Amino acid sequence: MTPTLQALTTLLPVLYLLTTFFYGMELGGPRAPRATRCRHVCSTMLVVAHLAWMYSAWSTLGHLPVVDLWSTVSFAALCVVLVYLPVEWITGAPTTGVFVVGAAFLAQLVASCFARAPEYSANSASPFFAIHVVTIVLAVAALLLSGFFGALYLMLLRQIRSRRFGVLFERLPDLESLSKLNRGSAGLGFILLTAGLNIGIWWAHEGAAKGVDYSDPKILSVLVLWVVFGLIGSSRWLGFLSGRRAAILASTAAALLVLAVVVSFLPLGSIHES
Amino acid sequence: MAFADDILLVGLNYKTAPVVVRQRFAVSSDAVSDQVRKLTRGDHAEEAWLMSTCNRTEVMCVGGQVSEETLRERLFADAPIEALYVHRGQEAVFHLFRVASGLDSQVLGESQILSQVKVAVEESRNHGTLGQRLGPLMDQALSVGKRVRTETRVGEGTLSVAKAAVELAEKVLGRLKSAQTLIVGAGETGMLVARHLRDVGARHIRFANRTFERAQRAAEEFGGDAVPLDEIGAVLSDVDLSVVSVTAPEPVVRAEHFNVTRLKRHDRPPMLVDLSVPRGAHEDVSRIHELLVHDLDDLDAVVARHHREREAEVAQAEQILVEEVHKYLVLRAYAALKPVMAGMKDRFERACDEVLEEIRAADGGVEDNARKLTRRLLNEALVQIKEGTRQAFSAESVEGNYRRYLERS
Repeated sequence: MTPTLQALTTLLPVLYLLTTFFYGMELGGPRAPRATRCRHVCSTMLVVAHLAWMYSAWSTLGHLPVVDLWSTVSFAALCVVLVYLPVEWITGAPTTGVFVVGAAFLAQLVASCFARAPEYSANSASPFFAIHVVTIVLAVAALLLSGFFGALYLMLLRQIRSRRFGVLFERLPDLESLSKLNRGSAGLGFILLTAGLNIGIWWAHEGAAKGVDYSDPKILSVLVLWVVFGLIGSSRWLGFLSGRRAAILASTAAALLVLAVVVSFLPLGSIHES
Repeated sequence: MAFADDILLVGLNYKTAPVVVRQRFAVSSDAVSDQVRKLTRGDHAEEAWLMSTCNRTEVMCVGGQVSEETLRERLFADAPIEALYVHRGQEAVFHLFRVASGLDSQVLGESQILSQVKVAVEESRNHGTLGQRLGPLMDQALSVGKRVRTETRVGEGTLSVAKAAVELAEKVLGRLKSAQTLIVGAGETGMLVARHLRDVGARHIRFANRTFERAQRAAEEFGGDAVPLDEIGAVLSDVDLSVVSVTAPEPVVRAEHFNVTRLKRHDRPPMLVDLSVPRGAHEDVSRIHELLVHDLDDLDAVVARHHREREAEVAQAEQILVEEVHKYLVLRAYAALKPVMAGMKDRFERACDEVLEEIRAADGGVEDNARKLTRRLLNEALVQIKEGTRQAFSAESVEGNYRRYLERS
């Protein structure tokens, strides 16, 4: 690993932690413009530093540096933040950030601890690989966010129902906003997943002799998730799922997604090895 | 000091008792006059004042044989001990002034309480239960209420219970622009709710009222629809927000008015806010899982933020309150010393006449000097008494008593 990459690998968890801290202040602390400014600065530095890491590694390897489990985890952390920041900007509700960036911090911390020097892989050199991986990981990040917002919706609904109006009630967005975030993220994830899957399938048919094995449980489970998130994303438009049901479905599907990723990744190191 | 010691106040409010308890001890406007008359009948109390609103029931008495136990038995029988508060003397005055100025309200600085105090004062006065003691005290309480609102910003842009209900609905449901709403009860609070709903952009407001014509008038004013009260079951399950604000001895909204299948069709969970005391929605309604049911106690979630924003104004209002209590006690002391001062004047005059008689017999030329001397002496004595009274009620000692009252209540 080059000294630049090594330094950035060490710096990234620190930046994630600092950003999480300022998001935490946004949720639980007194409203202070200085803390908000610090959060903006930290989140910008975090994105810039992580993109710099990606650029540096890409320059060294000559292809997208998402080649093993830990580089994928790190890239997923970046994608979660990249999907979350526009969502936060659109909704103007930064109070959910502590959970999202906090999760990304944990992912980045583990990734930085186990990071190795990225190695060149001939399979990864194709530009289709880069598009496939970027769209799929962004889709996964969006789907995880959808599940997260769904879980927040259920938690808030439970608090309101039991008439416990604490900090979460005061600082979190209202139920309708959380429902929109849940469905919006699911819709975005569905579109990205559609693109990523199609590129992946096309690329597999073009590049690999055996093509895609559609009986592979991993492929099947991804297709099931693709359908589920498509349903959630379009549920308001089609009017067949209430906000609560969409939230239950999204949080369950996101939990299954995490499970599927962990089950297929951890023992194998890559989702397509068998 | 003895000038206010026999004033006794007993009550319960939103801080000490939840709606379910408050509704048991709410006194309807028709029954208030009977209650105050009963309290002043016989040798119970010389004067009495009673106020009952959605957030409090309080009675204040002075003189006679009235005791805390009598008031408990007559108005708060079987009330949980922790739900009741008792204030005597200066503390009772502090409490009354806080109530009138809106500092003790659930929605800090709200103006409705001042008119409620005023109505209660008028009722007691009409029934002859306010006299020399409580009459001036009540008048001063009303002027304190006005002074706090004009000299501080504690009530500026503040919430009302109606606005707090709409804010709670917005906080839970989000934007109410496209929400279907139903207001059960087209009284003062119901109309206020409608006004605030219109302010946040709600376009579909329906009204139900016992007098259908009143619901129709409200619907015309807000461009909505009127629903007969006995047909609310047809619409309750379809609206996103229903606000119940009725004055009725029995609940008007019941669980059988709702259709669970239709409630499940809502994208966001439908909500019912009950602003009535006694409750307008039956207890069974809160057991419907698909419906979010809230009452007056839940408004704290919204008003807490407004309280924090107005803390500086509260300090200023409390300073006025201490000044006014000081003024009240000094006036009470003057009133108590009036007979003493009149007696002193008579004695001095008599003494002067006697001395003059003696002087005339000897030498009539000293009459003017003697009268001058007497007036001077009298004036000195009066000034001395007034100064002594002021010192007895120093503003600092009143403020100290107020802090102790706040710690206790």
